[in-house]
Amino acid sequence: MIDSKQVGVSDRKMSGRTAREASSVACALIVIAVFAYTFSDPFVVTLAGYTCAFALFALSINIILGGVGEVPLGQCLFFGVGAYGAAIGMGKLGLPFQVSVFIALILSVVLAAIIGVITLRLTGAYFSIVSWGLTGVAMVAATNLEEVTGGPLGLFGFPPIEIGPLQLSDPQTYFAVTATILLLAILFLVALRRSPFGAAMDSVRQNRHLARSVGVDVARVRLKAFMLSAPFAALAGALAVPYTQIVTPEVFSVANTVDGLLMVLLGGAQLVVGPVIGAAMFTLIPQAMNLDPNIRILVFSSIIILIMMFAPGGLHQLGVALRDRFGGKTDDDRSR
Amino acid sequence: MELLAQTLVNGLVLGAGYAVIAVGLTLIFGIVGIANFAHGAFFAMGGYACYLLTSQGLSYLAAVPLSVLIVVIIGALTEWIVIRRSLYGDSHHGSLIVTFALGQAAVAGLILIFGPDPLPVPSPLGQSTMRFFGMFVTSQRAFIFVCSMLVLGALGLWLRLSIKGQQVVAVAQNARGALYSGIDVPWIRALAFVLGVAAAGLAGALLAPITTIYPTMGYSALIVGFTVVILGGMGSIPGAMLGALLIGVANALFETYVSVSWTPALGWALVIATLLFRPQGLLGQLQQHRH
Amino acid sequence: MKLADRIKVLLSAGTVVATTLQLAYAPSAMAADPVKIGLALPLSGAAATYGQELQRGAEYAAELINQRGGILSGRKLELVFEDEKGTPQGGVAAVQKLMSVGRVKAITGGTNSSVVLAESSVTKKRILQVNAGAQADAITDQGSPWLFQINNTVSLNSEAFNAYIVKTLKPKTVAYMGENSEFNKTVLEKLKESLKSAGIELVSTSTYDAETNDFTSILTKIKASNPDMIYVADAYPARAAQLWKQVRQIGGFKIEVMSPGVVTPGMIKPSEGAMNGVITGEIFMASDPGPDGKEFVENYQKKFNSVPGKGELVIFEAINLIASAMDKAGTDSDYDRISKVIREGAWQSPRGLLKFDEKGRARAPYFYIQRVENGAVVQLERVSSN
Repeated sequence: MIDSKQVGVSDRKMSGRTAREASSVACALIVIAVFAYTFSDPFVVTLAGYTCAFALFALSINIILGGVGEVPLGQCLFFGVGAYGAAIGMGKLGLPFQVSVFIALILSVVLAAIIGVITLRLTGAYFSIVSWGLTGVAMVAATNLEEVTGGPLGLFGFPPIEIGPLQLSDPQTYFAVTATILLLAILFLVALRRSPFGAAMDSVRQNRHLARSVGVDVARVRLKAFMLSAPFAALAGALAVPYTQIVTPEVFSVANTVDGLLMVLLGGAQLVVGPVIGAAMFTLIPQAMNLDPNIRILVFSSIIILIMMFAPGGLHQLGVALRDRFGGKTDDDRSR
Repeated sequence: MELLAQTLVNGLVLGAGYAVIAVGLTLIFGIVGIANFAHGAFFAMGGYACYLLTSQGLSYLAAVPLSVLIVVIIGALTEWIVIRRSLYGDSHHGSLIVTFALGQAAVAGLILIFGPDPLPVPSPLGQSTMRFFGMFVTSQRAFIFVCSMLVLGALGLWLRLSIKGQQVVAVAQNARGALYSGIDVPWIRALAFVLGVAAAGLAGALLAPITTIYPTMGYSALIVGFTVVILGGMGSIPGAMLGALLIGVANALFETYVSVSWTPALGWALVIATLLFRPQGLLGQLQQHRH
Repeated sequence: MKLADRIKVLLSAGTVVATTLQLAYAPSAMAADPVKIGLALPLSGAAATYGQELQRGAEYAAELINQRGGILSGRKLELVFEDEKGTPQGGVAAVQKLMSVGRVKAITGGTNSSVVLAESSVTKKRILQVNAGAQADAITDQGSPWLFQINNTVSLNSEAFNAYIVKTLKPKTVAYMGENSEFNKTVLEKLKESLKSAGIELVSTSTYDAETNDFTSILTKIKASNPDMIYVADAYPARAAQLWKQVRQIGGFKIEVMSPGVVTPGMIKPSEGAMNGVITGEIFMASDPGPDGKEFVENYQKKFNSVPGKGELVIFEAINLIASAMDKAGTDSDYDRISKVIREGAWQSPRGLLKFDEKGRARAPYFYIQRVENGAVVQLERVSSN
């Protein structure tokens, strides 16, 4: 279903697709601009901005989940590295926001390389559990290394956060920046999926042993994917800082990863923009129906179980199944 | 010297509690082939069942086996409704996400039913202590230690000596081979799952008087269980017991002589160190692909 | 679908969504409206119990004020509640929603310090914020001119309580154990200071993680150092209850104290008697409220058939402070003037007269030393702070 695009796309279809994609990007840009321009309500605009930042995190999770088929329960480690990196850089070292974020991104990649080498030679459950455990270690470290991390209360009281002339404390600018970064990330991931590396990831996810037998260096692909996912999560963490204005050891909580996983599963792991759709649903639904959070967890968890039982590809898969059944129309390009 | 001896005793008793949790986890991993992230929820259910029964006037000692029975029923229903449908297929990460979601749902359910506040579970052994050679152990902890050793011993004997037990071992070693030789593999898997969560429920009921019960009590149990199981080797029952005692003693020593605030990271440090030098865990077998 | 059509459809869809959302969030300001006060509270999650307490206390306060005819020549008080979920990002969203959608004139609430810190970055120089319950010194250390704090900060509480330890309990050696939290960091610092200046030795300190539930090793170690007194700092009821049970199992200590402001019925009950004899401190006692609080406690009890706790009290005071200060300043939005009025005045409350210092902190007029006896706290001493 996914691979068909790589194999059987004719030239005519290809050019049609390019045009359609260009139009989608143009539309997205216009929507971002219109949204940032029309909405002056700081609540709506900053929440939208934060949702874009968190959607980046969901994308990061999906590089692992939808990419190589592992469940990255410890992905909030990199989210936390991004958040603490930005906070420590700005608050303790007096660096500009973008420099701090850049350092945090590099750090996250290095960290991913080290962790990946240790954990990725193991099968699914080992990888998930150990990476989850490492976030626990990170939380203990963040709580205890008071001089660096501010201890249990965390870091706060930052100077005005800005990227060059862009004031991130201004709601509309914040939204425009996070949304644009999100769009760039999506474009990058679409390109990635179509690259040989994307195909290698597909093959690793679908059948590791088969992939190995046809000459794919499975361990290398998995490690590369992991290292690639880390800076996305770190960027998300850093971009969440202008919104929360405080970074506490709680950023390493597995609850963050679970939120991200939920977004991916709601939107569909096999769709590049799936996690983004999921993030939007995840933010809008609670605002719309003010549920008691425990009931919400109960409902969401049940939905996840049902999705995994009947539509492991996410809600998107159900939609496709319905369309195939009733619409009769097939789409060659379901990877988007 | 006395402090050291007392610390070692503390660690062993602590480890005995971990062992019951971890053995259930490793049994499910070895035979069903899933990492049961809902294990902590069954642990909590054991505690809550014990609370419900004792608050109805039942004595604690009678409530413990009944709590296990309640968890067995819930576990069997879970296996029947969810686990067998979604997990035995090809879905690689499905089991992980489903059990994780099950665990989250169970905790939310417990909060909705019983509220977020901690509840006490009275035990006749509650406040008394036993002394020997100048060291003390509370009676409840001694009870946990004895129960844990008895249950684990019985499980070991059953696996070794009974026909059903041998079938379980056969499925763990080679599920396909077991299927071809006429063993009802789905049934054995269901049995292993229920046995595993029963162990979790037992641990919950045993520890409830010491820790009091609260909805998220299963999280730390789950984390400890996983560290123990990975350290000992996933799927290995002797490994789980060895790992539990090791981590129990290591934690106690570290808390007494090094630093309390860094103790939570110790288990993971041990796990990472083990994985670096012996990826299959202390007593685990080299990984065979299960998916 | 052609490219142009596609863009058109998407654009028009976008416009429709945008307009609907704008309509949904459109302000509806009219003259002589009620004065709206926004409350960001943890109405869900682990801290929901606190949120419900605060909600009840706030509603009670508003009801009394409206019965008296409201403020600013007849305008009623209207409360708007928003769930902050106990997380910083939840707090930011709640406060922003209250300000832009709820059109509130002041923000109050507050139980968790990290959440209030995050909220205060949004409210700073934009709106009046009165933090009712959260205790971290850092909140008011930032020096935000329109931010006030009702509850004692951790250090104020610790100073008052440590004075009692040093002067009355007079232990020779002390061991400290507590959860590693933002709260206890200050508690420990203050304890170290007080003990040092009194020449009392701190023989052992153990800070443990939130997931800890076995204290045998820590207690064994403490017992080995044989202190006169153990000081426990833990605000989480489940853990504290089992900690005290384990203290009892190893035979207890000569003097046992718990950090001020954390002992609640929800902690004493699951400890099953293990907390009997533990000494602690608090800024308010419903069983002995003093002359100013008597009326509050009695009326509250009549209405809700339960005794008001500290949560109900501090939010009651916060709502009253906001209302009276706005009334006295004659404005609901000139925050410089309202803040000046708050700083200069002395405010009647169930605990006595509240005065605010330069940083916007109130100091509790009285501090109560209490001991747990038979599952309830009894008063040992009432110390005046003035």
